[in-house]
Amino acid sequence: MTNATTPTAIAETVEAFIRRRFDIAESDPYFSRQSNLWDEGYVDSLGMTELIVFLESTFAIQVPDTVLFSPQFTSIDGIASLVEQVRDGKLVASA
Amino acid sequence: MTGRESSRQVTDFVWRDSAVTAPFGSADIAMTDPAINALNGQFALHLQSKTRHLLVRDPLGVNKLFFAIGPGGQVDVSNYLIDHVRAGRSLHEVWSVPSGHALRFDTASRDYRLTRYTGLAFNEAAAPADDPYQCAAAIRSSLEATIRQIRPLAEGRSLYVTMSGGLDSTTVSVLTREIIGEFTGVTFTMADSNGQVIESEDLRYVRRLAKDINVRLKVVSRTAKQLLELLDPVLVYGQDWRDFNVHCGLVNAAIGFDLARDLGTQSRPLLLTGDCANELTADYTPVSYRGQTYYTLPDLPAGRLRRFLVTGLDTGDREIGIYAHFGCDVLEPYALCAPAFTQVPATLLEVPQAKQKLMERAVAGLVPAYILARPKVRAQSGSHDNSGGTLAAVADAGVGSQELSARFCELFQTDARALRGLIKAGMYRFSTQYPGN
Repeated sequence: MTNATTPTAIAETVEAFIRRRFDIAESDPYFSRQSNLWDEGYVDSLGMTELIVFLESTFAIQVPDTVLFSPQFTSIDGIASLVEQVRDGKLVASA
Repeated sequence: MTGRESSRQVTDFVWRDSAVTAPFGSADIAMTDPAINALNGQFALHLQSKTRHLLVRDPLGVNKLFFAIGPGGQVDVSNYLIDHVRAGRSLHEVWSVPSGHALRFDTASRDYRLTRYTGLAFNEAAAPADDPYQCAAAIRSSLEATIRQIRPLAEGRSLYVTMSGGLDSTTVSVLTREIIGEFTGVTFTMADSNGQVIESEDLRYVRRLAKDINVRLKVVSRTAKQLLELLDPVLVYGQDWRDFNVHCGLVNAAIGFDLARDLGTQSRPLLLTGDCANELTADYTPVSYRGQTYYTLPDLPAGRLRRFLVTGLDTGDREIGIYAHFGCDVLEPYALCAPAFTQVPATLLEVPQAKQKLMERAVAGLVPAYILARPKVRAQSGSHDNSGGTLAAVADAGVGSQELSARFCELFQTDARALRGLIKAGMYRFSTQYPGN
């Protein structure tokens, strides 16, 4: 688990995981925290599953299915914002 | 398909309190989520009353359900994505109802509410030390109850059970023989380039089992070339381009084609299969063939992987959709027993030979010892006597993941980018707000 609390700190943690897991070079000029991870081919459907597990175990949350196709759940900044909303109880996983 | 029309060609099987329900009418549009949660089965419902619509999908998403709302409020609903494409829509305009969800909307008021009416509880705890396999009894009991539920549906119909020589299909075969009675076993095997059936190890086990439980056996075979001729209907009606589901779908298409040919215009045959057991027990591994890796999976321990494999049943229609295209109804007993399987403690899925150890206890005294003793066989990759399987047939023809997705795009008149947006984390694209808002 991480102590990251601000959106920036959450984004840093998510970016580090994505770069490491999906072999994204620091020198990649097209990759940023605003990149569309799926459309630009950085993360595929299987990778998304691993990302969800990472988010759940790292931030002690349950990622609701409802965010999967949300426009926010496409970039690192958007994902960080969603993580914050889930942690603040503004988004909940439907049981 | 035209507006305000349902084009659902896949049979719904719905039980309430273990009894088959009567067909639903427009009055049932008022069903609450608890009332829907009392239903079990394989279904994708569309109920309509004037401008109000209720769409419901079964807990595992075995039956698929896609809809589109036109600019004038016309609603098209189908089990098949392709119906929407043929009606002139792009995939961007088509939405799925997620498994275990109910969707209510009104095209006049544009009210739109997607709710999860049920959820599977995945037991992520450790197995109890004193009796780690106590969950096995619930699995046995659930499987038996499910076959008993199916029995009335089999009356007066041609009943088939797919047999692969493995543990999952054998369990269904033996229980069906005990509880329902006679059926015809049906199995698939590759043929050599001359069309001669390859007597694989799987086939030898299937023949032996069919003889031991005294059922007729129908052997369906295809050469590699013949199998690939089924690729387009598999992509279209299997609603997926991912290699594992396509390879499974090819076998099912061959069986479905032959059953349709044999039965002609007689009533739709009913097939029972061993599908979904592997998802429910996270019994999957990637397969290597000629230096390539197929059937890739998220890199997770089995106890965590199970949740995503089961959720992933939302996508892909390798059995129901393909068989329905050939006029066959399919029931998946394991899918109907999902709650018993999701209660298996995660730690039991992470030991070597996990499913075998679990199912040995669940089906003790039921499944012959020679089946229980078999090493795990992945039908798609062939037996360990190297007789090959669908994976070899497809891969050797140069049809890999890229070719499958490219052909899918052609058939669905879409592109790779749209495809990436169609399935995420094993779920078809859905919307939480009125489409177009």
